[in-house]
Amino acid sequence: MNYNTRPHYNNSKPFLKTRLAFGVWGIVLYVSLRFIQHLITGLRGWAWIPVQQYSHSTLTIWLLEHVHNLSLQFHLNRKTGELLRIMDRGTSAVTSLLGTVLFRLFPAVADALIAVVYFCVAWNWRYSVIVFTTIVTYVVVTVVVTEWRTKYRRDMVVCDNEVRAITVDSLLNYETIKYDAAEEFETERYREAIREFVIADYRSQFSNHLLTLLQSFVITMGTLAGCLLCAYEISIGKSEPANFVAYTVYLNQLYPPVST
Amino acid sequence: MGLLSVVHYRKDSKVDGADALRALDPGATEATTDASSLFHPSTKPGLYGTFTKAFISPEKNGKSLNTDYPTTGSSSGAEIKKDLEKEQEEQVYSFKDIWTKMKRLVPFMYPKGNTWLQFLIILTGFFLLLGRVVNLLVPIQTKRVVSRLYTDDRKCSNGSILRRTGLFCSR
Repeated sequence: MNYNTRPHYNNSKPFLKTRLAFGVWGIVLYVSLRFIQHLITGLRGWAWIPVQQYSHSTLTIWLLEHVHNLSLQFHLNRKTGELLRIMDRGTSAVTSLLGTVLFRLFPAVADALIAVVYFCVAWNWRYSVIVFTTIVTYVVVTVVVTEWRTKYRRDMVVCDNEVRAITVDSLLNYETIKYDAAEEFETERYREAIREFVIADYRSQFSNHLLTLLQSFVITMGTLAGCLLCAYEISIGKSEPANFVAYTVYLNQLYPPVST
Repeated sequence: MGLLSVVHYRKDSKVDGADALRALDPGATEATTDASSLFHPSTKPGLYGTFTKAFISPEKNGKSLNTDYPTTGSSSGAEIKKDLEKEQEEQVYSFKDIWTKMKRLVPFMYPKGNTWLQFLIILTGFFLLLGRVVNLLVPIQTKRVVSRLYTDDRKCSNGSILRRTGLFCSR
């Protein structure tokens, strides 16, 4: 492959000096690395399946055992639907919490620290400061807004539990309801619970969207500052266009995809 | 060893006629007020909020007796509102005691004595670290590729990947 000598290039475009290299292997390496990123994610997920299943099943079994050992008072007064909902929500919340910490929080923090060090060593300290500030602001905004919106989320959960409780209990006690001709009453009760749920769910979802918006605003500001700095350095000849591309690529994978 | 064992109120309550009746038909609430003393209402109701109803004092059930329709032990709109108010009164933090929460939970999730699963956890950690390294290499290689598109700088092309970081090749 004689791709190093291309006379027409050299003649027609004088600013491109002689022997412009076409880096096949560099591009192959680049694309391979991008594939390896996805390969690693896949393998990681594959290795995690049995672990996740183990912890989920352990928790579920243990929870059912626990509920069976609860007092008679509990079982006489329990709302089956609500209890089922709580059990489901509880176990899935625990496993998803672990997954979030392991596969989103930890990599994001590690990536950010690596980026700060890399920019400081290979580029210059200004990029480090920008990335660090962005990450810190991102975390602070996320924590503060989440603390604020936790109450809405919990309201939503309570209302959801109530809705489930009414559904399951009214179906379980079908005969009693029929006996007392209370279908209309039950429907009305259900309608009221749904109405409460819709309001709470609206607040929960709205605050979630607000959080997403704020997060992406912080990231946008960080990206803007970094890009402006990079472009400025290119304009005064301290940097090269390739750095700009690399910077945007780096930022894209640095900031975790804002959760929906 | 106890996430939920805090609410593990195991009672040795005697099962008498009223209890049996209620067990058979939860809708039959007529025995509630009389039988309530047998249930030993817990001294610490609603520690977890969501389990509140199980430990609530039986006055509420007594009230529901007088309504026209049996409520089968379920809640009305007013009760939902009361629940919500109770939730709002509790100060709940998402992040404040996250380590306490995790410390409580992890013993239940860690596969003790299962070497294969422990190996898989280590493997997952290895993949996580490998992912960090590759995430660093991708932008570096991007820079190299783009840089090669408009320069004829070949002095680094045979170097190792570390020589291509831009640290040694920047013009």
